[in-house]
Amino acid sequence: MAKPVVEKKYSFLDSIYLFEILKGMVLTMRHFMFNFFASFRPGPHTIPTTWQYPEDRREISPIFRGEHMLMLDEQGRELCVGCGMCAKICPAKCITVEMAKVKEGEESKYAGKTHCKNFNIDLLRCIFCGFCEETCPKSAIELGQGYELSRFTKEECQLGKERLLKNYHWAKKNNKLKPKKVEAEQPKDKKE
Amino acid sequence: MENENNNKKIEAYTGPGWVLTTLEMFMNWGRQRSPWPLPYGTACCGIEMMAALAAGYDMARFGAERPSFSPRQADVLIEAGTITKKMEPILKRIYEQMAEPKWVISMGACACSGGVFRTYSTVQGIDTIIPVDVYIPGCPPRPEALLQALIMILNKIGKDHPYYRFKSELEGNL
Amino acid sequence: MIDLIIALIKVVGIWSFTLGVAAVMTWVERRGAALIQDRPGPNRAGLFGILQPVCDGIKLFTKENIVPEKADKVLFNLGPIMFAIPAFSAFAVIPFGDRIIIGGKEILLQISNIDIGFLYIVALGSLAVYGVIIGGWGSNNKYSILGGLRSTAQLISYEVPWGLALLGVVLVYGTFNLREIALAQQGTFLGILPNWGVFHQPLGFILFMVAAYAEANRVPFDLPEAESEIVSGYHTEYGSMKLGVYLFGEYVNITTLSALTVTFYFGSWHLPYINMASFLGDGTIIYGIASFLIFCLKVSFFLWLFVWVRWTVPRFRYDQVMKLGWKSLIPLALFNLFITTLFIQIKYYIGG
Repeated sequence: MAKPVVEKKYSFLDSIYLFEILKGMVLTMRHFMFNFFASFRPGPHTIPTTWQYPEDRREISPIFRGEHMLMLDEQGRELCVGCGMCAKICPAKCITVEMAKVKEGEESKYAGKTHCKNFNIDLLRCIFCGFCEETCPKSAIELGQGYELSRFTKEECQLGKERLLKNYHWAKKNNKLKPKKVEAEQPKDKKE
Repeated sequence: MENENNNKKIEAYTGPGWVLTTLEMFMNWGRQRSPWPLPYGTACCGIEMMAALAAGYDMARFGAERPSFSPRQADVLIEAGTITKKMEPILKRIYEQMAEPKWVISMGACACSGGVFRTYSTVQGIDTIIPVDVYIPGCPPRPEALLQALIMILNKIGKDHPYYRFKSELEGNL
Repeated sequence: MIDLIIALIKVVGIWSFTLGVAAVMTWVERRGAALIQDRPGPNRAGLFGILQPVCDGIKLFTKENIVPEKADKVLFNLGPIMFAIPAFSAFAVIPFGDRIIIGGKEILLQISNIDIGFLYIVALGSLAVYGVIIGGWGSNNKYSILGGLRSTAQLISYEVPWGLALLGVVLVYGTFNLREIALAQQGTFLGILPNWGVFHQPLGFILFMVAAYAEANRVPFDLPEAESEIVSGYHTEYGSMKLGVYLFGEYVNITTLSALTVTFYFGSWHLPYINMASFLGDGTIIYGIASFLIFCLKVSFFLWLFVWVRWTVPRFRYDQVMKLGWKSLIPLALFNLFITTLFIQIKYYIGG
């Protein structure tokens, strides 16, 4: 149903427009006075609406999809088995995984029977969708909270395995890991 | 050994002298605090660029107050968004129209490398067309990432040598 | 000989004062705009960004100077000069304060006290159009010429109400000499109102303010340099210091218009009910400095008003601008003149 067009009639005072300008100027003066006195406050967060990066950082939500990290389990063993499911499902085809068998003496470092020899994410292709995190059968890859990813060259934007593990250690130290996923309770009565 | 020391002393005297290096420092100081961006926003990353220019994460704090759409007046070309093959000659032309000195920020996955779009119509990264100084991955990157890239460009300006860019004596002294 | 030296000192002083005010105005504009819009504004270059105009100047000086290949070289280089010169030259007749008497010699705080100061101002206002159109045509760029033509049409249509509103003040005070107009704004009339121009001519003041904003190409009339419409209008092709002269010249223009507002309508250096000359002594250096400071205070209020209105009101559309100029302001200006002459005649016949 189309809305009928109503021609707004301007009163005489409205059509002069000067009074409307004055009302607007009162509003902007209020904003100006508030912010002017706010700008003298101590600390980097002076004006309430502005986050003055780099001194003043905002709190990031725990489910933010930022820079990736490869997870370790409670005993410190790598969870990734190098299956390559994340590489298969990635829409941008930016993950490269190479699988290798776990040798005899190295069982304390890896949780499974195989591990990933090379794991490379091309950050310039990645769209941070989170499919790799959802599809990993071992919950070995997670998207963390890193967002300061700018670099000078293309080579520095490739995430190798060391950088992925380093991200995990940093997140663990600063307590920024996501809480463990809890299975939803199935309803007991399925007939209704 | 003594010969080398003597040579080093001679190099120190034949390099750029005090007046020109102070002048360079002065120029870099001025240029570092007023980068005027050319917001070349074509797609979704443009929204994050607008957010960086607005009140939430103010880019005008760094002196980037006047985003000019005329390439003759801008310093930094912030390329935010997908570039298709149709847009390619236009981007090249705008880059060539900018006045020296100029820097380029490539913002977002589509600008750095084609992103998700490995198709016939998308340019796979703008560094096939124009030289890029800073790459910002992300889809879209947060406004803070754009500010970090701008700060990186400002630091790069601080190390710049406007007068001795091509003189070989400077390479001996670096 | 000594007159020449005094005149040179005055010229250099007022020139540097104007340049300094324009430089500070860039900082005031950015910081004021930012604080109105709930954000900090420049705060990296020195405390609260106060060295920002210096950094901008250094950056503009060291950028590459590009002259387009098919542009007319003479006109392209002449554009910014023609834009800035009339704005500076108008300061030659504006009185900055009252006189100083040193050793029997009277020094006016005004570069030249000519009897046709008003005509000089209006003539220079008309010259300001040249800078825009020459810059726009010389760039050989369709956006520039469009911006230049729009700006020219706007400037010449708003000069008529500008001149007519000022003519009302001239009729009330009866002289073209700017110093006489400033001196005549002493005392009160009708018992309680000060003898200022704004109380004699309230309608004229509003018309003058609106026309002054249009003359300065400032919001709400800044369509010639609107960014979303025609890239940058007439200064699209200018980079480096020529652009700096255009941007700077805009602020000098604003300063000139504020100074004119204060001289004609707000009692140049007089305080409302106090006669300063009586207790400070007429002609002493203290009195000269005090009158200069009061003048500067009033001018700075009007400069802030320019910034304040810019970030309050949205831009007018081009046909709205033309309609306002020709269909509303000019009839009102003529009506204002009619009423003024009526009152003057009534006063003449009653007062004798």
